[in-house]
Amino acid sequence: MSWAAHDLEPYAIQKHLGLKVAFVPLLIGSYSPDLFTKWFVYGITIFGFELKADNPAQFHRGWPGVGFTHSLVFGMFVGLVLWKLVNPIWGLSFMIGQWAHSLTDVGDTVGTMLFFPWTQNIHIGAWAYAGQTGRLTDAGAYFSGLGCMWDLVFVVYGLINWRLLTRSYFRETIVQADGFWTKMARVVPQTGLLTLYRVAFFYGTCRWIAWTIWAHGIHHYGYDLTWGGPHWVDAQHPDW
Amino acid sequence: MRPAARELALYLVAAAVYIGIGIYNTNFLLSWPVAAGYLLVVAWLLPAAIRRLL
Repeated sequence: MSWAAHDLEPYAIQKHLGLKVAFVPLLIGSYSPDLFTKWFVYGITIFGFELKADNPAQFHRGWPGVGFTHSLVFGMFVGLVLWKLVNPIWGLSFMIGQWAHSLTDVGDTVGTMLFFPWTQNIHIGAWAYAGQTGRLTDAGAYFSGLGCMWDLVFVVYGLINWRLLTRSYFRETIVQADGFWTKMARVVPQTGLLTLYRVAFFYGTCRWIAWTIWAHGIHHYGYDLTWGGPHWVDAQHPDW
Repeated sequence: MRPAARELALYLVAAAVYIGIGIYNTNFLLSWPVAAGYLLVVAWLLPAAIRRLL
């Protein structure tokens, strides 16, 4: 799993594909595998009842579970629906965003069922999956291993390519690629739309900085940038 | 101060405050809608309201 890359990767993809993709479905696609499921991985308490998956990792990435949301076929299926119902560029953009998420999550020790309905998890195990330990330990572990370094690549990429976030880029590329923004401009001024476009970058970058300070400035979790680390956490593997 | 520099300064202050609150209360870091609402208020609505008042 990733804590900031899913916010930031769509900006890099948009930069490379320009007018061929639309930012909003790209971002929704990038969020989609976790959008309705992550709360059940960590659990929530409603009126005194705790709702949490018995086996969070299997629920999140496996089968039986909702792991198919991290597969290429899921992105293709939803993309095709959007292609028909909205327009082709929305369908393509959603699929690319969803594929980026599914491929990024191959980096941890659980990986994804990339080729679902084949239920084998594909993983390279570069950083520890620790979602089953709860949100805070997971944060401490994630921001101590190679996962946070993968996120950092996209933070730095965004800062180097800061023009992606300017008003002129928004007007000449983001708005031109997608009629959504023109429709929104009837009710929201351009500065508001520009701010909305920047939210995911702001969120991803600030989260990266804040969790890093929280994990290492306040709680002193140990950095372990070795393959599969940090090894001080009990990493989950797809052996449920 | 040029408008672009003023805008950058505004975002940097907004980011510093967001990060500060987030470290103090990590729940603040967990919600995309909260971040969106925060940024829309701090970087757009508040400056627009102040400009209208002045």
